[in-house]
Amino acid sequence: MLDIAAKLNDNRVAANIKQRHQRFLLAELIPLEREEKVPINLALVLDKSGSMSGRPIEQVKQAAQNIVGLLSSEDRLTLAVFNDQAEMMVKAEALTNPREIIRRIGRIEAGGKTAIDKGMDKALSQMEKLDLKGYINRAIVLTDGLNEHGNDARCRQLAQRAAEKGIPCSTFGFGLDWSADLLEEIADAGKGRMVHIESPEEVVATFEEEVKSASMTVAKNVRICLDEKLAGLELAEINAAYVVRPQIIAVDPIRKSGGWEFPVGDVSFDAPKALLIQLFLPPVDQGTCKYGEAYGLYDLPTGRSFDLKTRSCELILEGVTPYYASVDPEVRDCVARLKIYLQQRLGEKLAVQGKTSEAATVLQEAAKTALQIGQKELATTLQSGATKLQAGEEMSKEERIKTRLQTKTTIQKGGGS
Amino acid sequence: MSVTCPTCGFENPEEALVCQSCMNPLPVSAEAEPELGPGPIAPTIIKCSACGAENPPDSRFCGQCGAQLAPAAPPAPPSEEEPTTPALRYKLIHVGTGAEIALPEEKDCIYLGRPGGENPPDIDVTPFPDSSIVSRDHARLIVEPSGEVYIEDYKPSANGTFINYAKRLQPGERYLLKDDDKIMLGLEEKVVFVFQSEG
Repeated sequence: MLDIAAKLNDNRVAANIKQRHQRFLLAELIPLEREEKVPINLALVLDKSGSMSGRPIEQVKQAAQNIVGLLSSEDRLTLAVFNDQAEMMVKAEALTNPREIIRRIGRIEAGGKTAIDKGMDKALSQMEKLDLKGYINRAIVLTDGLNEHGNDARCRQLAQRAAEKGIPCSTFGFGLDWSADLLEEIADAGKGRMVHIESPEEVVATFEEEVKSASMTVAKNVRICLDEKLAGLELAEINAAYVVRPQIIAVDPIRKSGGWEFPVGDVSFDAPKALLIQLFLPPVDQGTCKYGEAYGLYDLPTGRSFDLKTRSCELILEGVTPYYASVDPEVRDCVARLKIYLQQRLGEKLAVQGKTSEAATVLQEAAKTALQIGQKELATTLQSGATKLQAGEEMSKEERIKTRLQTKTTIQKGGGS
Repeated sequence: MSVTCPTCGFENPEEALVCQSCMNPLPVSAEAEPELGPGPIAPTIIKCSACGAENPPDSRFCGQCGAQLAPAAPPAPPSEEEPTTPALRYKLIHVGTGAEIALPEEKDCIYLGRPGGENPPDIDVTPFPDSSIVSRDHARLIVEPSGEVYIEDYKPSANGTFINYAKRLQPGERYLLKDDDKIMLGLEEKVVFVFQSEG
């Protein structure tokens, strides 16, 4: 079961002013209780290219074997490995004979180049053929390298298609040589998580965490709906909506009659999602008025109920004179996190274009914002990037990846922000 | 009418307070209120007392040696009170020239701007550098009987009013001023006052 809470960064506006008012609406999904245990339908898409040789591939095999140990006999596993070709190792099998599967995983050997989309296609196409209804579905793509012999656009398409069919697709970047752009695009299109695995020692724990989090899924195919109750209510033309917890992911609004729908994927008990909507309120007279209604629609993982509706939140606006701004601190912090995320990406883009001083200015602004909301570590990371750019130096691969992940991830594992 | 974001170049609708694309605070579109009337005042070169270098009129620090600049000739505070008036409770300090302007105690609504608008300014910013960025009816200070002072961009102004360089006042919004709050009229740190209570 899911509940919802929604509020503006400031639900009061100056009355009788002939201008629209720019506001941010935060809609939080709150898991109420966990249902009975639902079996998992898991797909692992694992990189076995030459660069994985040695400890990395051994750790990944260990992780996959541990996952087999975690799954129960009702769960199903699909496992595809890839280099520049893909190979199906486990084809949507029920875990009736885990020892045999563990043995098969043990025979994986590293070698060859990298084509991520081939591995994704192999596993996801197989997953999509299954009956997904009574299962929690999840795909995990792990790579340590650039998609040199693959097709990036195809990776995105496959992830998006899987997400639309109800299979969230998470990405694990291992080491420092993978493309942060591509893995973020796959995770975003797949409505999954993007994770950086820094060392082989973290591989096993990271896989287990993702599977445990998936098993705590309380709602699938979740859509947040905003119905308009006041003529002139409009979304921003760009960046209209972002999931802002636990990671920042752009959401494309779908226009429906009488409002908008924002698909946010699955919601897990351990990492509730929140959506930030950028909108414009029309000019209003003095007094209160209802400008909208917000609610969620979702399916239960058990596959027995579809299009369940959460409680509906009445969205009330108050026109006042004189108007004193009073900003909700929670929404303000979410807006600040989104601003930092957008500016970090803008800074990266400017740096690539050779506009170094503009890039430094933007990163500095992001660092300032981080400091304002008490995110000292994030501020330090951003400021050190700005300082390097000002000095004419390049940020290292490690710094770039860490900055990305730190700006994207708003809720760290184990709670807290 | 639209406003181009100075940071990322995105075209925003004129009501946007922050850029929809990169979320930095936005200036207001230049066409919003065509500014005619008195143009910018003649620029005064500021000579650095430390190294003698000549700096552009609105410099706060010397371009040559980095020392903080004292203005060549600080403009007289425009609405100075009679010397007989008892001690004033609040003042604005102009950043750059250091000029101090006491708020007239007998008024509960003090207009800031340039002459020629609807409300004659109690604090006329014309003598300060770059004052052309300021609207005639730019902002007003409201002194409550409790002694609290609010600022409001009441018209709204063409180039906006910002608090501490970060927060842009929304049209019609009243903001409670605290000691050392920086009031910026228009963007780019051209016309900035520090709010302080006296004594």
